[in-house]
Amino acid sequence: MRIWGRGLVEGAAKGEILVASEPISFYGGVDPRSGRIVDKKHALYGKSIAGKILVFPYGKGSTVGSYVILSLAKNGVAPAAIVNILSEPIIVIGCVLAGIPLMDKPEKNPIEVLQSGEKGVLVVEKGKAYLEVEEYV
Amino acid sequence: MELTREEEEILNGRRGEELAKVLEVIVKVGEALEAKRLVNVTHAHISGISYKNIGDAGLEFIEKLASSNLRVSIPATVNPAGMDIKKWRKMGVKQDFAEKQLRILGSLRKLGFKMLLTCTPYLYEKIPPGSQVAWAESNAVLYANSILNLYTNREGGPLALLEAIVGKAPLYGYRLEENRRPGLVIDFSDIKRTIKERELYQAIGYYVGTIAKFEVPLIKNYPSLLLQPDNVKLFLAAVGASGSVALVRFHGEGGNLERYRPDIDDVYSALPADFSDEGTILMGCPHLSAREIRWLADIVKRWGKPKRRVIIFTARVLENSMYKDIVALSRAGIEVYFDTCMVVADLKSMGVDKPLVDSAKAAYYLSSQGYDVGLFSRKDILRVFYGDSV
Repeated sequence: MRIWGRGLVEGAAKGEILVASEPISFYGGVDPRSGRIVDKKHALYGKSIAGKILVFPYGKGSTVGSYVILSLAKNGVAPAAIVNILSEPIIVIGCVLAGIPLMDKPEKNPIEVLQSGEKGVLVVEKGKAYLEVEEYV
Repeated sequence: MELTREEEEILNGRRGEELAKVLEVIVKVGEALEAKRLVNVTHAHISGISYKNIGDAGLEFIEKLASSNLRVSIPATVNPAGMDIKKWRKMGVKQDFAEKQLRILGSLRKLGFKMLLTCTPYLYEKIPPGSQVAWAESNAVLYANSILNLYTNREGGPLALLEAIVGKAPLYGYRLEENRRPGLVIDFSDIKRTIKERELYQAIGYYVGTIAKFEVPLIKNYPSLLLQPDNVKLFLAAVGASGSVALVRFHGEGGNLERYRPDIDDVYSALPADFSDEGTILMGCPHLSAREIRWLADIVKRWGKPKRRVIIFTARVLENSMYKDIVALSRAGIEVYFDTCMVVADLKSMGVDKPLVDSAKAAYYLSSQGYDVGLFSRKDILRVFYGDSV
């Protein structure tokens, strides 16, 4: 299955897909040292986002979140790529600065059609982007 | 996005690779937000400079920028840091933290930022009404849009930093007149007297942010004292803490817009903390103004030393201009800190376990940091300072 979307940060990445149905606040919600979700109210509490193709609707919370994304990259525990329904500035800036491929506005709702644990490849090139799901659970 | 020839040239590296990269980030954000073009901004104010918040990654990012030839191209100021830059030892700040915080500030100074180190730049910077600016601190953004008739979005720390260098920002959101029209009406008719009697300005601000979410609220039938500068400062800070909105309208007609008419329980139940008399009193979120420093100094001159530990936070620029009042406060045992604030500093290292605050914004952020927070109204300042003896 291939899902096309809007490419915001160029690059390519391969990895396991991790789907969150609710928004993520990186500041206070993700531990920059371990790459784990530490927001106790979040459905993915305790899960690691390191190396994953992380799919979530949009970012929320403090704009310091951009620096948290940068910290994750510096500590080697950043997501391999991010797919949003709609990216807002916190995520866009964080991904541009950290060099994490970013796609939004997917043609199908990825939260409905994707499942955590599937493997995929995200390719972002000159404004065009797609997520190819390689292995179904 | 439509770019001018000058912008194209910058992106093509005609004015250096470093500047090209900076503009590229701004353009990416603009594209994500579907801005049609960029707009020139005349002033920037950045947040996210406390080492406690941005860590080593933030430090490296800012140092890397400063090591290039890039400098700010417009007047630009900075938010509070993680410590008082003179009295950090007294705050219990560790050497390693202090060194890294000073490196962040040194790099920002090298980039050309003015070390205002306050969240209230609107009290000190003179900017003509109608100007497009790039401000990142939420309470300052609300004050800029709502009171000063400036035009800014909640830009976010790193974005405002890059915009300060290029002097341009994506044109969208609150920068456009069509997005500054009210989307709902909040009518305080039923509780106007209670708000005035109990001085619940931060409380109604927090309620407004909760209700408004992304829509511009038009508020009506509030006590006129709400617009006194210090009251409106507390009010707007609370709006910014509980909501994503960046503008509140105080005047105008609501027409057929959706209307809310809260009772006092609606306001109380929205609050991030309960009213209390217990804890270490913390004031200065947002930073205390010269008028508020004078007010507190007058209280301690008349009533003496508070019975409780009191810590206040304000802007360094007042250290000289309000010297006598600050001495009076210090003599009364009040701890006065500059350059930093209760939200971005480490209160634990200052020995504070249970903060008692007059700001709903502080109550929200300190609760989310895990503190057991109490809230008080300024109407009760004598009681919380001196107990029932006064």
